[in-house]
Amino acid sequence: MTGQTQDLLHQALLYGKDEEYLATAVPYLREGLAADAMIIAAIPNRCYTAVRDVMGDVMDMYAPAEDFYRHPVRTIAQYLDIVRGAQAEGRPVRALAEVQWGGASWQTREWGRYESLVNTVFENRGVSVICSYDRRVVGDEVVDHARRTHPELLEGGMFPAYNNAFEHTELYNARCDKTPLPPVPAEAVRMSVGSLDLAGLRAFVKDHATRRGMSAAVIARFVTAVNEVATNAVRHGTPPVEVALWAGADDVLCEVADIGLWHPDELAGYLPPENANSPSFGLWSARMLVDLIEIRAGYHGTRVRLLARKED
Amino acid sequence: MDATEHGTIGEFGAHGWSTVRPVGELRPGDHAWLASHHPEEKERVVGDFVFDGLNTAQRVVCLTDVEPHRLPGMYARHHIDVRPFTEADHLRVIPWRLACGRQGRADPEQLGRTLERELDRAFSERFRAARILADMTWAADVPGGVEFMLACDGAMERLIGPSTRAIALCQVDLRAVRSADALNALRNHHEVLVEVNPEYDDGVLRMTRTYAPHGLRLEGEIDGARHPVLTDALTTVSRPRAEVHLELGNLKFIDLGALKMLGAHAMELTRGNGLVLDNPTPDLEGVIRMVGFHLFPGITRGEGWRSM
Repeated sequence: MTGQTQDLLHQALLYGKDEEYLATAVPYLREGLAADAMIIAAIPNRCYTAVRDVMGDVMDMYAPAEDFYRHPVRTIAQYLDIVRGAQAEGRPVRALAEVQWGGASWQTREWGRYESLVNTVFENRGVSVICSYDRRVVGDEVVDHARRTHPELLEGGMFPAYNNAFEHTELYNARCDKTPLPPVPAEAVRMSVGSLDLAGLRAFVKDHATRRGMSAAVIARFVTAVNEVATNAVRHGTPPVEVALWAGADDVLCEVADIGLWHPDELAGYLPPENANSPSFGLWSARMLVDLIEIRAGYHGTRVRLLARKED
Repeated sequence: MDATEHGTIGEFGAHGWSTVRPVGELRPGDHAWLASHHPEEKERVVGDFVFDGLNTAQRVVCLTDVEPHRLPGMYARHHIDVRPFTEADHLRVIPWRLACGRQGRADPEQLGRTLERELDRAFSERFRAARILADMTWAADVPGGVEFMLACDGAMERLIGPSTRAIALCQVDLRAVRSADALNALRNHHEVLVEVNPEYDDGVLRMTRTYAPHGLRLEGEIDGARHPVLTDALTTVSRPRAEVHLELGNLKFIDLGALKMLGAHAMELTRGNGLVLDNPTPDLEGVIRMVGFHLFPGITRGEGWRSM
């Protein structure tokens, strides 16, 4: 490293006009260039063009935001790969980011969780990132997430404003996991599982997911993830283990419930493991394979709910 | 495995489709072929073939020039001293010279007559069935040997093909064979290609040793209930400084736990080139790609990968 601090700088920029965006982004990137940082951006094309018009082609890497922000767990893994590459070259990373906040409420929640996880994943890796929030696009709920997930807030002006709403990742994450899940609908199909021999469960999931319109490529990943969660429930949970499956308009959901109380290391399942031998490999991989896994553990039992879009 | 999967369709030879069958699943009328890549493969197939015969009151006739007590796999694999069986004529070991020599010349028709006589004798002595083992390795290396063996094979086929009580196994050591054409000609004479019995088969998962390349063929599904047997099988095939290939073409499902075990196992094989995965299904490849191949250091992508 060239002597800079390795601390993570994670700032939120709330802007309402492109000029405000540039007023922060341009000096920020110039500083990075001066420090020979790897400059990366995952921002909307509009912002990218604006920056390029002012500074020229200064970026080492650019991904259009709508491609980069499709799946929070996969995005973190991708980001970490990039950062590891920069670390291998001994360069700090300077990033511009603008998450595409999805429409469904769970998507907003998971992108909020993602922003919070950034604080943990990129700690001490020489990373500096400004996450921009276009006030013309995002609502108050998203801004509220931004305040809770960024230690520093840029809201006009040169210097970050004091942000007393910031929450540490563990706390934020635990709050995300307190949101009640909607009840399993009455039309869900159900099956109970008693042993690690899950051939029957796989056939059940495959059959019902196919009939509910899930495409073959997605099913293979969905079945693998459900199998993993059910294996955990049988191994570590308390029987009976019950599986329910149902579908929404665009997605298929599966819930694995047992009556035990599971205390997973909540963050572990979101952080990319070092290799397949890491203890969190199973849960993390399952999260990579489907669009969403939510865990609710309490004295009433443990429920793990998986959601996958029918089409890729 | 369900019944339809017992014979997997093998290669298309000059004489039509051939079927691959484990030695334990050979049926009367089968005239089977083994070109063994490794002494252990020969021990397993030949040893099991002869042992199964002795164990189920079948007459076993071996056409081979080795001494009875050196029959492959009998002592090493089944811990059997064959002497009592030869003394009781349960096992008959006939040198080629006696089986097909006529007036000082080797005559394939003579072999046919010898075998016909042996079978008649076996059935008249109340054996329920008979098996014939023909070790053809010597012929592979002799000028004109392959032509001679082809003729012998014809005589055997006429005898065994229609039989409801006899099985024949023809075998060569691949390492002794110099000409691939000769080998193909011999192999194409056989509709059944024989392989070792599976290491494990519970109807959901089947694991079979492979010798070219060295490794295991996994078929069916692997989940948490089958992790212990997978570990055992992996441990059995692993040896220092040798690649282990896993043939995955018929593996329909593998859970994340087993993938993790493969990763751990690959890391342990540090002195070799590790673990090579061949022919994953599109589904499996999709899962591994999504999780990230870099999480499995030590695992190598072998044949049949589509992308990445």
